[in-house]
Amino acid sequence: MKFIIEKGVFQQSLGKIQGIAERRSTIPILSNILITGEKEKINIVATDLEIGVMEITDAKSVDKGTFCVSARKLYDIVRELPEEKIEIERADNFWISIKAGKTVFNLPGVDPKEFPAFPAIDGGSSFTVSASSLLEMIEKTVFAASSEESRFNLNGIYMEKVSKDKRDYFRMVATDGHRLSLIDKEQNISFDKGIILSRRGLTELKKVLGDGETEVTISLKGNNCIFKTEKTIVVVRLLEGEYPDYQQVIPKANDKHIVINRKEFIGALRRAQVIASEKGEGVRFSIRKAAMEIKTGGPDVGNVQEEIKIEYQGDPLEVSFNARYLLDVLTNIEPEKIIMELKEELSSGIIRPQDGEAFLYVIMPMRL
Amino acid sequence: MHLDADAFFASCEQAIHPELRGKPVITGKERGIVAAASYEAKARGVTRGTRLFEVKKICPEAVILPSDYETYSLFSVRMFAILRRFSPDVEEYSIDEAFVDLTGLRRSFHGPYGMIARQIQEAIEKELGITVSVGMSLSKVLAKIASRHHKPHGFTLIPGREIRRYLEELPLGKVWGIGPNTTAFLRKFGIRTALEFALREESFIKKHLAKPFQEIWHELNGRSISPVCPEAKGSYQSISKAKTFTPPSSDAQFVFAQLSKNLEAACIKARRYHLAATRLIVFLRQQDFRDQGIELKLSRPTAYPAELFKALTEGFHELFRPAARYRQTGVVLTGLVPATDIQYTLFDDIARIEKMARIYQAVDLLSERFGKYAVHHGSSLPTKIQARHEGERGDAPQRTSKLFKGENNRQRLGLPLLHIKV
Repeated sequence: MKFIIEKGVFQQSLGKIQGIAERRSTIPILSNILITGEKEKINIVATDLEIGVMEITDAKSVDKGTFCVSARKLYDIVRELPEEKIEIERADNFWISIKAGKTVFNLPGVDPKEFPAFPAIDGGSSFTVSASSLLEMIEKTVFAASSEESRFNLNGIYMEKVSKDKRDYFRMVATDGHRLSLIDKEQNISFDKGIILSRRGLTELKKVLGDGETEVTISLKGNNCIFKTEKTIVVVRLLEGEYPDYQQVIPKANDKHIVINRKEFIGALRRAQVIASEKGEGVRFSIRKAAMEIKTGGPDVGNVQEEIKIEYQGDPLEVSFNARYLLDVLTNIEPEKIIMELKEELSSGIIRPQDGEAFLYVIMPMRL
Repeated sequence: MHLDADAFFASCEQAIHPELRGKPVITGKERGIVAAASYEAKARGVTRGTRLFEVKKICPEAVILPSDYETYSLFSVRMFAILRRFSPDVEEYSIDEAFVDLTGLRRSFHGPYGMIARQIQEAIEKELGITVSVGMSLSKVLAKIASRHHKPHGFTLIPGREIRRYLEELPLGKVWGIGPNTTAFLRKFGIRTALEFALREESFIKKHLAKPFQEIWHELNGRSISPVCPEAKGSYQSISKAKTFTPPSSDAQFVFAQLSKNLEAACIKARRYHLAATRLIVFLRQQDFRDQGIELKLSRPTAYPAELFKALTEGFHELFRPAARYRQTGVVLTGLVPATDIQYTLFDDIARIEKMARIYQAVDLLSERFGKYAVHHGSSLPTKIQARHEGERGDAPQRTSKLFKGENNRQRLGLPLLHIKV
């Protein structure tokens, strides 16, 4: 087996899969990558058994065949090679040689048969979304998913098909129990049931999508969800278990609507957070007609207060939230103004963009 | 200065029962093993943890008493109060041990440090009728070595120039803070005694050992690193409550009641310090001292038993084997976070939680007025069966059976009761 490849192209492809190859040191074979050459293309595969990624890259003078080497070693070598064509050839006993200019590396490899087989990806009904809108959906939800291993069903992002006014929407939901993020995009979608994907799976997918791809084809096959772009295939294993009934925690009767300038709100929260971060992030909001006072502090950490303008005409209200949870959402959405929908001191609030985008964020108050 | 009471529990018993002075006294009857033995008993070979039937063999005339923690803690409080008359910097290290910083007090007492320490020792012995051993040196670690050097009723001063003499013969494992693992590790480098450890160069210590051990090394060399911390413990990593009962039981309801009571006790303490747990550890100890434990994650931080019973029951059923006989149960509240700023979760029923908070506020208020456990959970009720057992076997401490007028089982005056036979 043999091929010739541009250094830049190769380095980029190897870089994208490093995170997956390196993760599990308990199963040594998984720190390797499998490279298969065929018809002027090479496939580079890495997996941690939960996520599998295949990078399909152009190469020249490809002789059919396959080899398996340490992902880290190969990446480190390629990074340091001069900007030239790299020639890779498989030798006996699974060794490979890497030549570029006047440099020659010889690297021991392992038997490719030991590397886990890449899951089947063909078949199953599929639908296609634009890469940018999928990326946007991931970015606006994934931060709200739990990173605690124990609550594994909150650890994932829920995806399902919903219908509103006879139109189909692709919905993603994430929650860690304290806040919930939900986004809908009008889309023909072929899922007949909701699925849960791990936070990590989507984070890896995000890396791939950010790379100039235009379209993604999504399909379900067995226990896997498959995301296919022109150059990359990402296979993410579905998380088992029931996703909690998220509909039930979205408040329906929040009648106090407050309109706030997003950037001003972020500024004030960041200032409050300097103090709040020392005492569990709690910040108190005193909402009155046209103005909201933001304050936080304690006897041993100092205190801060600030007033910002709001559009609001209802009764006064006092409520406390975790500043970080608010900043998480405010920095992940773009509109100039947001609407905060509240009811009373200890019931959950909603934040949504004023421009009518189909996004909402539910946040639970704190008791200070 | 480090001060360590001699056979504290046994000494307290001898103090309140003058007729027991000079006799071998043992406490821990309710646990079936020796909790503390007076020096008279120790002289006959009784050690901590010996089983009581063995005690009866080696020392048949021993007076075996049930533990009376109420009296012991009253003595402890008084002992610390005496120390505070001499220096404001008193660290209550345990119920019967304290560190006292005497630095700078020579002027007010018109004499050397040794003299002040002698005065403290005398005051405690005269006022409380118990003896203490005192060690003085340049650092806490050395002072602790000094107080152990001569016991009971010892007084040992280790000045800088004599450190060597005290460390020479001292096995490394006897140094405060150095456990069996570190001892075994350092033996690989040929270090067996405290002196060999203290004499190693700093670069060696820094290379091989973590910070706490580097501090011990400095302290052994007479450089005080950890100051005496006078504050009462205000923050906790975890709160644990465990209780041994005799006879051992295989009655599920009774064993669970023990757990339930431990949980209530741990929660009371957590609430007192405004803490809430995110994890709960449940453990059961069998008659043969085999332990089984399980750690459970909680869906939200809490210090309310009512919310924890689900996890407790789950853990209990996981661990409990009907064929086994249990002698101890315990719970640990861990992953503690301040309970002042509570982040509710979307799935919480807030009205219910707020109601529960009010109920426990009321429970705590009632306990303050009418004594601990004035109101308790029904699941803890079967522990009372044991109290009856105790009565039959005469295992209850005397303080709870002889009451002053107006005292009851839960509320008693904060005074030790002196028993004198006329």
